[in-house]
Amino acid sequence: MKRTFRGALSGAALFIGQLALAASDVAPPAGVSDEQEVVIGAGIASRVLGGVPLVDNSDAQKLVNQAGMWLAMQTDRAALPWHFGIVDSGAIHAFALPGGTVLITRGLYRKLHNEAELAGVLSHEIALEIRHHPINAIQQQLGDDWLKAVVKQGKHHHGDFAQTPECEKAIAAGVELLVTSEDATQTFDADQLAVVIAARAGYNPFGLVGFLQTLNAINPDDSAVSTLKTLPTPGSRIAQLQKVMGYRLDQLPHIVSDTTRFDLVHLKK
Amino acid sequence: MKLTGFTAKYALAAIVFVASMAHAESAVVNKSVMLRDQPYLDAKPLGGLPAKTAVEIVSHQAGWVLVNVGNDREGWVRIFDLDTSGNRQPLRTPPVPNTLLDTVRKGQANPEQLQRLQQASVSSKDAFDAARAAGLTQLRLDWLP
Repeated sequence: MKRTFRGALSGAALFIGQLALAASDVAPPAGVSDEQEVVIGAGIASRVLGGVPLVDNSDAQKLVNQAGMWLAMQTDRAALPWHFGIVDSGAIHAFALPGGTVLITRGLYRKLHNEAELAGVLSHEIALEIRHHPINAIQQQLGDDWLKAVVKQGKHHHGDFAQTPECEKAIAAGVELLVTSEDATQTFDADQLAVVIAARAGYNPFGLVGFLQTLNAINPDDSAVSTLKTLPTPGSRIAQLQKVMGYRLDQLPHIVSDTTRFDLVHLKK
Repeated sequence: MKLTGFTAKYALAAIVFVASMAHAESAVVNKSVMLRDQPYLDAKPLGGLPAKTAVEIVSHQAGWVLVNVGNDREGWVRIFDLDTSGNRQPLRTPPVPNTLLDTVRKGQANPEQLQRLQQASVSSKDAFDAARAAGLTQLRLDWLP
């Protein structure tokens, strides 16, 4: 069968550079099992959604799940039960919860210009997950005794982990750490991973830069971005991305910024 | 009213056009740069822009931004050469409190909402099919050093 060059390109994954790094090169293993991480993440998500429920827009929720899952599939944690959601808050924020749950706010979504920018934001949160940062922050907060008890519970399968005091403590700590768990080094690192995750999924990797420029145009004292104050400034994140990206990702073939499915979703204020 | 295929196509085009218009924002170039006629380093130069030149953002393509520098004169500059921080709006008065964290901290577990979140998930096959339909092509790419 005769195939066009374009068809042959789109029919197979393109290979650029070396193969993706193995999981062990990306993130050290956490002491908490993936299964326990998922249970803790679900408990935190339930608490968060008890305060700020999901936006009642099935098209928007479908879009972030389709895009988010596709992005997560480009990483070594693709097998997690990924859940993506838009929550009903006008503040501009995104959360990565342990075990593959990513929530962004309505306020953030409304600042996005195209699907590549959405991909940049989701990829940053996914990058935190592949580094195990959300669960590691809880682990550090609760200390070695908590970790030993969790690991022991995981080895011996003593009942339902969700019903244990360790799980309850982790959920409470996770809610408190929602905003403060990410330090500057982790933010820069997640940005650097995010542009590659987005590019692997076929998105314009500069989408994240575009979104950071939008954030940079917002007065930092505006209440809508007050929960972002613990993160490095958008300007410093753009400068760091310029250093690591250079011109390396300028010539990628077939990258996409605008999609019809993004343009057709509209969230109310 | 039922739209014909032709009408629906142009209605969609109008929606996309309005969406692209919403992109218009202002910025300044953060250093002296060359305006180019295509989004490439070796594209034809259209003239230099001194640092702090104000521009309107028209559209993006990869690491380049099409800008309007006034008098309908357009050209491409690198995305990293633009600074949007001068575009900051004054604060609203009185300031609106950001209650996101307080609201989350006060939240009680909501199993019904959690179930909604989990039910909205898509399978990897659905995500793959949706990505293909959206024109996304997977690349194999190493992490940046």
